[in-house]
Amino acid sequence: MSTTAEHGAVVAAAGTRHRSWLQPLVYIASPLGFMVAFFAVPLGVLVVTAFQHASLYSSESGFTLDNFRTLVTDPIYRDVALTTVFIATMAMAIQLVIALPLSYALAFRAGRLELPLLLALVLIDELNPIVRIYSYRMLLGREGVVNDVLLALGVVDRPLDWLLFSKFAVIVVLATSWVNYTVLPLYASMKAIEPVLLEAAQDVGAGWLWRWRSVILPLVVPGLLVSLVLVYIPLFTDFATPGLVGGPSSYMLGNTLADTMLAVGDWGLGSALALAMLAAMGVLSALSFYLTRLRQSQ
Amino acid sequence: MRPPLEDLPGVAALPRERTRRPLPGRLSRAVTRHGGVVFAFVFVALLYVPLLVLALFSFNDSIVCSFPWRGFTLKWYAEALGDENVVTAIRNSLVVAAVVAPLSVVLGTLAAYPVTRFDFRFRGLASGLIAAPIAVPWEITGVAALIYFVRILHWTPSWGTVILAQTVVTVPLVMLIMAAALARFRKELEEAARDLGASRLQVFRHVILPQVAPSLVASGLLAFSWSFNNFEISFFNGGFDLLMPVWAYSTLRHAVNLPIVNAVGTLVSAAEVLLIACAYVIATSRSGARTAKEKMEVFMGEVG
Amino acid sequence: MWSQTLRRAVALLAVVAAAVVGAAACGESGTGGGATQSPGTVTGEVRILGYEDVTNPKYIGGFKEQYPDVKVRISAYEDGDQGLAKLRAGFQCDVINWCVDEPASRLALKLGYLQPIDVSRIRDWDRIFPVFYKLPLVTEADGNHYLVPTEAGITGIVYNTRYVKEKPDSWADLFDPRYRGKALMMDFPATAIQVGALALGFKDSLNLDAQQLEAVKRLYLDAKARGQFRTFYSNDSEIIDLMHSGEVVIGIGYPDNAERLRELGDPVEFATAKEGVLLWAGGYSISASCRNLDAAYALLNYYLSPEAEKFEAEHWGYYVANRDTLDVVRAAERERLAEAEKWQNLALAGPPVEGYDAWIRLWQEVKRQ
Repeated sequence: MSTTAEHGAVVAAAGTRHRSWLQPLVYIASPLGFMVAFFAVPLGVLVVTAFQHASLYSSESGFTLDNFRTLVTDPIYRDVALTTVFIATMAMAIQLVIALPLSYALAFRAGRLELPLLLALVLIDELNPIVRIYSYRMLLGREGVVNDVLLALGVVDRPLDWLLFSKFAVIVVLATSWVNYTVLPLYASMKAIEPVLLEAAQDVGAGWLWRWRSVILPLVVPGLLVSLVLVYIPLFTDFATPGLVGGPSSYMLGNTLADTMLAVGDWGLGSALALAMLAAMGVLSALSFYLTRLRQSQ
Repeated sequence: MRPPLEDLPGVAALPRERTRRPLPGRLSRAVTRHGGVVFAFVFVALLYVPLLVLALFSFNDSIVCSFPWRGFTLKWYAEALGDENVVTAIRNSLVVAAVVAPLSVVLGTLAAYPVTRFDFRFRGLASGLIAAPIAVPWEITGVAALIYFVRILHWTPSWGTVILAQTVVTVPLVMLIMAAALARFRKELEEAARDLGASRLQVFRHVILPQVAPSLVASGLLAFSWSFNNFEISFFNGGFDLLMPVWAYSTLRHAVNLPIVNAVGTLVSAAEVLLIACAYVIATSRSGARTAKEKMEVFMGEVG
Repeated sequence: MWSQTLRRAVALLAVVAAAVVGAAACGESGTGGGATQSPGTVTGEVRILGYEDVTNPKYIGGFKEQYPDVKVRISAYEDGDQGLAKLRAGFQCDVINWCVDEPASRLALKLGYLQPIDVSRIRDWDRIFPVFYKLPLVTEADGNHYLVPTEAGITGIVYNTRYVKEKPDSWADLFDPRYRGKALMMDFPATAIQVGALALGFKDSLNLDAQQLEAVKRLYLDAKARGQFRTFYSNDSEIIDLMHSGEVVIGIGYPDNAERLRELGDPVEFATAKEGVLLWAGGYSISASCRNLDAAYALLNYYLSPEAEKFEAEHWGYYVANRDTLDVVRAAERERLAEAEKWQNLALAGPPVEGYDAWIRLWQEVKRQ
């Protein structure tokens, strides 16, 4: 750091030391207060039932740890968790493979097309979301476009069954549905990279792989972690997609939760599941903040 | 303001004597230069293909959204617009989203800013709490909020409860996107401006805002979309005023309604695209801004 | 240190927040009518919770014409489970639309959300087809009536005659390996397990012991292993879309599905299974916390009237409960609706309230891999 900046930082720090906790409080007070009032407290009320028997089909009552025991020991939850982790991870991986070059292109290479493309990408989630899933049947079905193309090209001689109503279909649909949420934080943090850095790297003849590995990736770590938090966990809870395109073998955590909350009416078990998901996200977030701090302190 | 090369992180590790690879030709260079944009363009276009096909089928005289084509018709649109429930539902959802989106953007940005700028003691906890709704399925948040509103606060489910509950699930989205945008690895520019006497607000407006303008717009649009299309929260926390996603999903119970829901969806989508396109064109042409950066600043200024 | 603008912004935010919270707190307080009012002057507000059907302007329009002073407010749900969840969380309403074959309706009764109906105030109570009186909720063990039935339907086998040459007559045909990968089952444990039980020949499909349940599970796991069912579906659009495109050739469905497909030009027929046709039935209950009984009874009477029943029959293809409807419907519908006379021995679709969680779990075990 140059001396001017150092000096400025010291001056600034000296002037704000005894008010350093007040400043952030001013900003964060309203969102925090809002969340406490309308999320934490209601959830707390519901979550108390995680420690109770609260099923419509059981006449037991009182406090218990059975709900958590069920989550951990029940073979259905084990299988469903494995399926969900597999599908969500594959979908996330595909999204990252697409989103990294895509956000790079948007941030540095798009020129005049940057804002239109960004808007187009952001809009995609808003457009006809409810009926959109029916279009996938047209694409992936036995008589669908993809199969027609494959048959015409002679790649296969019978239509592929597993394109639709399978885990593959769920992965593809999830990946394409959430990719814009993955791109946005990555793009946002790429915008913060000074183009001069990349120019410098290019000037000394570094190849693209080196540029990515040593310059870009380390700098977009905050964006990457935000993408993970924003997308990976919600992927676990999606139940509409597996229901509509997953076929008989894509029973995911979101479906189990819907069944538990609505069909069985076991709000206790449902709350326990919600607590588990919160815990998972807590771990992921804590990790991301820790890593971000490491980065920033370099 | 370009610092000496040696000061840039990572440059010291660069291999110094590396020979430049021979350039294979103009085509290869064109690919490197424009390959990214072409990829981006093609990918985004591909994402739109299913939507365009669905839009096509909203004019098809058939209750299934697939070939064969049975003839062009506007009857689905006529039925949709003639159905008072459709008009009411769309209007109600628009009103709700128009409140939820700005509210979420304000709250989310207010949360993202201190989290990325200050290092205060409960930062992790505070930001974790504000981001937490993203991990909880909307059904649960919806049911919890309903229980809280009705049984504890003794409110009747209505506009207020829907707006509050939807804002709860949308703020994390805004906060996370803005946090990514605001988390910079170099703060010298900001600090330099502050040293020169700029207040935090001025720094935000003139230094940070242009940088994060696209993210702000994007998170606002997403917040609007999440509110408009949110079924679970609208269902559990809504009163007797029909909201669009509740109408759409419950209507799909009857197969004959599929093309009507498709028509409505296409109509709403077309309106959204048109609106954004108009805003973009008006905002950027009026000031005569040319470069992408300037256009963004103008657009942000118009929207913000 | 705090700039003026920032302070103003925070203040503004506080005001907005307070306004929103205030609006929520006020909510919409009802203007419920009194308990004793002559039928001719029913006023106030009536709040309905039900399927999207009840929001249909033409369906409710007749009621609004007859009672212009009553404000009708409707909250729609996708299925009974959702409606029950809302009630459990504390949602208040006056009239609830249920399908009695759904466990949610019977749980609602068990949890005390419904009140007995004074059938002397239901004008057409005696004009209902006999089979309806025996349904759960319509007449309960304690002799009370908790539901006025208004619609019904039968579940059977929908099949494409181009590919399915012999007319199916048994639920077991859905499991026939000849239709491997081209069969369709509903993603609803109540229906799936009951059909499975009937296909295996169990006579009392609603009272299955552990061994029988195990056998049904085996049936479905074997079917899944050979890829029998293309998918498990949950609404009509799916079955029509899939049969029309040829992805499936046989599946469980309603007569209305077959009719829609015929309109699309597909040679699809509806057949009933010899082991038992499943009957689903729906109607309207009065909520225990009803604030406007006069309006509620007026509404129930309206829904049961031939005028409203005619709409249900002609617009949605339902069967009706009120036999007088036959006098006002199109000739084409009369024969179909008269079938309800013969439904004395149909199996009611849906499981008993007790033990349904075992069914849900079984279905989860089928789906979990």
